[in-house]
Amino acid sequence: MSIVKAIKAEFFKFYFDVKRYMFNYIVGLISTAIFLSGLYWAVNALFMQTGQAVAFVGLLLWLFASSALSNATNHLSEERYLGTLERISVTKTLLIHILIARNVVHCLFTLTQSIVVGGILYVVFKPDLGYMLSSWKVSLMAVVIGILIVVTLYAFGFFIASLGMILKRVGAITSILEYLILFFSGIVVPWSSMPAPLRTFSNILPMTWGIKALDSLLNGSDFRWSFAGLIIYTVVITIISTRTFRYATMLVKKKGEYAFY
Amino acid sequence: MLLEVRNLSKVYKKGSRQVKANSNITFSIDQGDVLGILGPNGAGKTTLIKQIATLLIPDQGDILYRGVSLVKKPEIIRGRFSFLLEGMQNVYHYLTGEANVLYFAYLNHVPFSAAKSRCEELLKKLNLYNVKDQYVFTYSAGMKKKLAIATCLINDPEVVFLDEPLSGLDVIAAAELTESIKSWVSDKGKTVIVASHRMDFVERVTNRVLWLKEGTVVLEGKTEDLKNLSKEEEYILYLRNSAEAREKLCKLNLQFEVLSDVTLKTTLCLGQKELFYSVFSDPDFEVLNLEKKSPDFEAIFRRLYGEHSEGN
Repeated sequence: MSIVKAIKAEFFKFYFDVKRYMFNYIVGLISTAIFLSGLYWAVNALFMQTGQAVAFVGLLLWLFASSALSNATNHLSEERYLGTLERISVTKTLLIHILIARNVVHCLFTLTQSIVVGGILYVVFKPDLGYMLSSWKVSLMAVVIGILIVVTLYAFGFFIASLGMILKRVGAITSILEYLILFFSGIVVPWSSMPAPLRTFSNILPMTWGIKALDSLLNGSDFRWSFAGLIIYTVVITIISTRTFRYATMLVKKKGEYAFY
Repeated sequence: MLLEVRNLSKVYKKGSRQVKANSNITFSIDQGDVLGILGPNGAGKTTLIKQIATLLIPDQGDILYRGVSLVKKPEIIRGRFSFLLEGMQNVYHYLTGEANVLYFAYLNHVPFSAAKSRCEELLKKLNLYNVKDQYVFTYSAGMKKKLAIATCLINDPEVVFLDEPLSGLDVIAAAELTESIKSWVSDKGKTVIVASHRMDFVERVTNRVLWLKEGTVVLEGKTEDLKNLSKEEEYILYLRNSAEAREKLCKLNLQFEVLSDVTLKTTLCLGQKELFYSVFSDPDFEVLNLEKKSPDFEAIFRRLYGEHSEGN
């Protein structure tokens, strides 16, 4: 119940945020559409016909990676910078619930953004999504994989945010992570064409297992192993991030550095 | 007993450097108390409040709310206690005044319908209703402070902590805010803990006082009793202004003020018997008038912290 109330509160606050910064949001949407259009156009030729669907869906899912990583760290650092972190920490809603609620709100906003950008990409490039839409089972599985990827990305973002409680400047590295995920998860560069050391590295990135499962699903090959890997990754990163958050909060409260910017 | 603080200690460690913030602080608060925590900068007031707010884990000791340990169950105070913290903005500048209060109402699980009417009532009481739709960055410092207090009161908490509520305010804004807090305290009969180094404010608002010095409690008692402590001991002497009198006051190490060509003013404590004797027996001193100094916390503060702390 506490999370539901927190989500309502965060929607209320987000409404004012959008109202005040409407121009920034529109500019952000346009720049994202241009960036993803250019990227999709450039990499389209690299993929086989079925790979086009993976690149198309993968790029849209990458929007969630970008949102999850930047928002996760921004929410905490902004509260510290504004000087409101301690104030919200003493309300009836737990800080962890407030942060989850903010991620839910931003995730829904990103979903809207990805629908708009996806619509533009689809109209302009007409990617071949034939197999993905060929049966309801494949479509449903693709949606399940997509949801799991989003959950993993937000859990990973929360892990980075938790580290940010102790290492105050960790937010600065999120842009590096965003590009690593974009280029080495199999969205832009196909996983099969990566050299062996890069494949090993790629496996620890939060989107890789999901993209592999999606690729196998849309190729009509066996996707069960990748799907199992995705589930394990999601569960493990969720546990690690919540534990890290609890530990980091306790540590900064002991050291008296809870609201330090 | 509503709140009990037992042997609370906190040391901040930064590398090899250690700063003792609180040491063995013990006190209790009953329901309806308005407690003032006094002390100069660095006395440990904010550290104490942050420990009660569970934003800082004590090294030693415990805080009990109705017998339940806040160290073990920090979540128990959520929604019951409200905190206005020092040095923090406490409100969002990019939201309107009303949106700020409502946002904190929702975070404190106040139902939507009740939040709206309570918010209106509070903003009217704090003279912010006319500016409720303005963004907070257009507010003055006093208005922001009042708004922050409104966000603390919106969920009708059992205990309110106000850490330096008058800091950064001019005389008029401080007087206005003091009146608002006073009327809220008398109307609602709530438990309030105020930390400040503004003694006039604490004197007017509280019924009990806790004095901190270098992280320890040096004095605790009822506000009235402590005021009387200063009343009994300090006297103002008005003396005939003369070169001899001024010279002798300097010799006696007594500070004085020249009020006019004919009058000098100095202050003596009742305990300074020898000085009293010197002044009254010396023919160079002509005592024009003698009056008890009106009760204030300034005098106690000077005695407890000395001239050095007065600068703080």
